[in-house]
Amino acid sequence: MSSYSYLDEMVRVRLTKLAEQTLKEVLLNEPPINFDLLYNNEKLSKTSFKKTNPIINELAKDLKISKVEYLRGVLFVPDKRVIVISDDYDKRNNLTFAHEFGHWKIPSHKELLYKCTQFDLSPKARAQMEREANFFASEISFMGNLFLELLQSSALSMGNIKELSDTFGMSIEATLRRAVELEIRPCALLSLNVHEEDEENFLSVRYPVYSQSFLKNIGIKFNPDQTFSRNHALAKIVTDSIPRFINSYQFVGRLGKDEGAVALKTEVWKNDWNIFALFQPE
Amino acid sequence: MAKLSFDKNGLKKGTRVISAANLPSDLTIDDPRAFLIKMRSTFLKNAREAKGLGKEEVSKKCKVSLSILERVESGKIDEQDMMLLHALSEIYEIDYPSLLFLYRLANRPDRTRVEKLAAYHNQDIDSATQKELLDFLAKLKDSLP
Repeated sequence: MSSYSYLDEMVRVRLTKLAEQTLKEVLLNEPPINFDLLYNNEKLSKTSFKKTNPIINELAKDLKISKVEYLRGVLFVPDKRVIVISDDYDKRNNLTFAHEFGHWKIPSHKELLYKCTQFDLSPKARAQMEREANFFASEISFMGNLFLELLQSSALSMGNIKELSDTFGMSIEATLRRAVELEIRPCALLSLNVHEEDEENFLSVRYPVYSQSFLKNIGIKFNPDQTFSRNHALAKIVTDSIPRFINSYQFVGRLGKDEGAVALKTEVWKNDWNIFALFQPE
Repeated sequence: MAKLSFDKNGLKKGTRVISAANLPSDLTIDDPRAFLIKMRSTFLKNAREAKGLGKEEVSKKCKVSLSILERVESGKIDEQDMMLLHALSEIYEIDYPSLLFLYRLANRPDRTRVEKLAAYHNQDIDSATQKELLDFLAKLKDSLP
């Protein structure tokens, strides 16, 4: 059982089945996912624009989106067109293509989008649709159980996650999230933000993800408001002059207080945009 | 996939609109809020029965347990039930956005939306009754917590 606690099991089952059917329709059974094939099968067209393209500003204005940065992808239902705002990282664009494709394929989304382009859903309902599209995107991009089979066949490490990310053509972040969400072994993931000017709150938690067995056996949750100082071991990868080509390192830390503390093997990884810490019991 | 087809009001052809079928003929409702609460807790059951379907049959069609169907029919619905509501809207031939509105998952901020909701399944409704319906629905909307 996975830890996708943000979606009811019934919804997950429906979306998993839909993703399976979609892959079968185009006879896709090996990674990486071929979005051209998926889109062509639905007669959808896809285009990507760089953030700097003036058309993106116009688009954000038309859609009444206050900040262009919030805009990742748009599905124009009657035109059968998906526009993705590219950030020169193809693997991340793929997740956006999969997300917008999800809105198109999920029947309850498609009907709403067809009928009511300005339909005023409640914020909760809108968030639910985004969660559903995200889940579908993850299911289809990582080809359901195939990802889990490969994940379980080797040790959980940043190196192996990177390999899986290359195999499936998806970003490290998406691969890490899915790995921890599906992982049978106890593990947790922290996505972190860096605040260069703040010594005390040098790193802050962006979001945590836990495997089901981590919650059950370790039973510790990170405080979403937690920060780490510049001296903390987690900050090492950001502050040390580590050669550019080495972007991860490991240490063992203790989580919790006194006797209740749990020793966790920690691997920290960074790229140009994000910092991630992967925890596993020692 | 079946092609979606809509009439000029944006409603799927052949679907009923939820409000009208539940309105009493004299339109006199003392407590709109109580009426709405009652409507939420009876509407889906009535829609199922109107189609002559049993709970078991519908739960099988929707691939949900009986207890989930019973909870939803009692009006205890949140955003996690949106896909189920969509499946029910297909089976009962009910307008899906109207269902979302009934269960407070969608708002209808302008008159056009209210008008859509008031579209009567009897297309011959006269303009005076139509206006009365619109006013009634606007009142219901205002009475929402």
